[in-house]
Amino acid sequence: MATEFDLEGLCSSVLPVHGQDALVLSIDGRPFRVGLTPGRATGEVVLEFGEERERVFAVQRGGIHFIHFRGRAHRVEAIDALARARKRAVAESGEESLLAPMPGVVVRVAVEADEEVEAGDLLMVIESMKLQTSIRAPHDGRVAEICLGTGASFEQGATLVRLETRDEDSEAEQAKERER
Amino acid sequence: MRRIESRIDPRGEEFKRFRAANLERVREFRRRQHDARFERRQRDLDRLAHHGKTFVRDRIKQLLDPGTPFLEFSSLAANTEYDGEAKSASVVTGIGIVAGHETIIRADDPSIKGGAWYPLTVKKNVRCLDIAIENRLPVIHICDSAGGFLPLQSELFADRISAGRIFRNQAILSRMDIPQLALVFGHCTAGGAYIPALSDYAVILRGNGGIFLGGPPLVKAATGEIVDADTLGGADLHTRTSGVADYAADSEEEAILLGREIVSTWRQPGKPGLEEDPVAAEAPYYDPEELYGIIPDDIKIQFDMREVIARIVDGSRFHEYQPDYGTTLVCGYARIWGMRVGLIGNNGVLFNDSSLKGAHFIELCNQNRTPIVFLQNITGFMVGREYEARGICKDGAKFIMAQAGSAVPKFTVMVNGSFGAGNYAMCGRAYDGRFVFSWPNHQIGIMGADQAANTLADVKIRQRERAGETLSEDEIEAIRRPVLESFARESSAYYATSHLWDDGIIDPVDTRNALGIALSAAANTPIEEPRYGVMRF
Repeated sequence: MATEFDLEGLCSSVLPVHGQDALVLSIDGRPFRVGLTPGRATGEVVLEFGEERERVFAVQRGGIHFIHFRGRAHRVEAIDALARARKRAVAESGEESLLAPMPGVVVRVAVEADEEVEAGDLLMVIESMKLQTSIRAPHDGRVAEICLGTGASFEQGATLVRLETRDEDSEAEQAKERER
Repeated sequence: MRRIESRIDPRGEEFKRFRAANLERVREFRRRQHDARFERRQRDLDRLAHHGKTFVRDRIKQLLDPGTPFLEFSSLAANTEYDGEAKSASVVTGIGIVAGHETIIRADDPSIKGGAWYPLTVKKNVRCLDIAIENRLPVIHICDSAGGFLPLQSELFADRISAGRIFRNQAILSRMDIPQLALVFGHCTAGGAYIPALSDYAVILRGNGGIFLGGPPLVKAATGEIVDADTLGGADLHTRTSGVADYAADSEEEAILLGREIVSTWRQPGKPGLEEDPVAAEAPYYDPEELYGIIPDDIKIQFDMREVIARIVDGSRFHEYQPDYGTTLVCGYARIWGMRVGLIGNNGVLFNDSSLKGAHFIELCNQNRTPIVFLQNITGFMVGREYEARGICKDGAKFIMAQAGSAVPKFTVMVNGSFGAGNYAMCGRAYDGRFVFSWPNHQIGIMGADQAANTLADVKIRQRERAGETLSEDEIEAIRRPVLESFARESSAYYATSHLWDDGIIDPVDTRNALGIALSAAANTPIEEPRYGVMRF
């Protein structure tokens, strides 16, 4: 599987291919002969690209590489294909019910129906086996329905809150897809 | 592996409230730890100075390779016992690096009652030698003890995990080809004489050092012979005549330098528990300091254990196993300081499905020879008719069976509560995890204080009802209050660590480093084939 990189919004698909005495990368289907040798200074790398040789500086933070090249800094990130595949799946589903993880009682309702919420926002507090649990929004969206009021008791698996994914999110996602 | 997406808002009111509460808890822990480590009566310090002895922690500092970490065990052992006199249980133990070797250091503290061994001193000594055996770590003893604390001798002498176990463990270590070095900086009397005698190498100090089965007063009483300590068991006698010790030294400094040279001659047997190609460690993406804002100020408030995992593991990356099944137990893989681990953490009460998930995941970790880190915040297994009918007991039994039969190294961090049978399934002290560390907010007990008080009050009320009487509100309160008070005291992290139910309280932000040292130590031992008992299906 090719690795995809995001260079400031531009997506490139990179695949190593066999070359004679040099590494050849197929970038978006075109072969390039490349080489990397560490330079003398910290973070310095000598990059060979076809017939060209360039001194670049690179640092890494998490999965993101910051590369200083010809007087400009560039941000390069390997695209997590699995995470992207998952995001597509959520965007398509549109609506989601938040289910009770265990039997218990509603202690507090923190939002109202139709309210816009962001991922991580507190929706409801429930109590079970002497433990209070916060029910939070798994992603941005709109509260479609609050199914239980304060003081109501419920069984495991009961629907507590129904959330709708915001439309513009999936639209933006689809627009990005078309670009690709 | 994907980075965990944190849902914490570090600017939120709740975060700030929790953070303030946890910083206060950590300050209290640090205050108690500083007292146990350094605060001594002036006359005890004067006596040390008079004999030309260095404080125990300075001895250890001199012994260790400069700039390397020392993971101290149970710094608050015995803090709730013996009127708080036996600070750190009068002995310092831990893992440190000496001449490039990971070693266990066990150093008597002569600034408290001449380094006499209290019952919990013995328990702490045995525990550190158990750690040496389980993790194949060489041991350096710094001997300076008056012997067993006689007023409490019955509690430290005769039982299975009593003083004899120290010498038994020394013999087992030697049989396993794991070397031991004794630096004799004070007297080793009676049983204590066997520590250098059972060590493969022994250095004894001229003047302060002495090894004898019976000291001068006992010899006089037994046979009438009048003899001074140096003639009876000093450095020259033992290194020239008796052969009980191997090297004499004129100063503590000389003895420590000689000890370091001896250790440098030992082989480095390698780490069969680690991969051949190490993976570079990566700091967590999320700041471990944020742990203070995640752990609630009230033990009743639930939090997401993924938020804790994100602040312990490399790059905050976590591959979650069965994310949608048995969701009250979080299971998955990550790396800590580049080393592979499986993590099992509580996100609520254990149900049938979460118990089965736990058992299954433990088997997967064993199949793949992956050490397991248990993050405990457990109130117990779910109760009620429906769950009994579904067989919560047999599913819990499977979790315990898998965990107890597991052969990979296990580590437990008491992140918050540890109540009831959940403690067993989640690798409580009884299950021979390699290390157990606790956070200052930790609480532990057979059940919560409230539940215990209500249960006992209920029993009393029904007894009286059978006798045709009723209890007044005041009488019920009189039953509940003492139970609440004793449970509150005995369920605190300080009581637990005092009794060696763990290997020490740690500051939450140090968890990653403590686990790193523990995982590295555990990798000295090859991982055996797992073998489980019969699972009740």
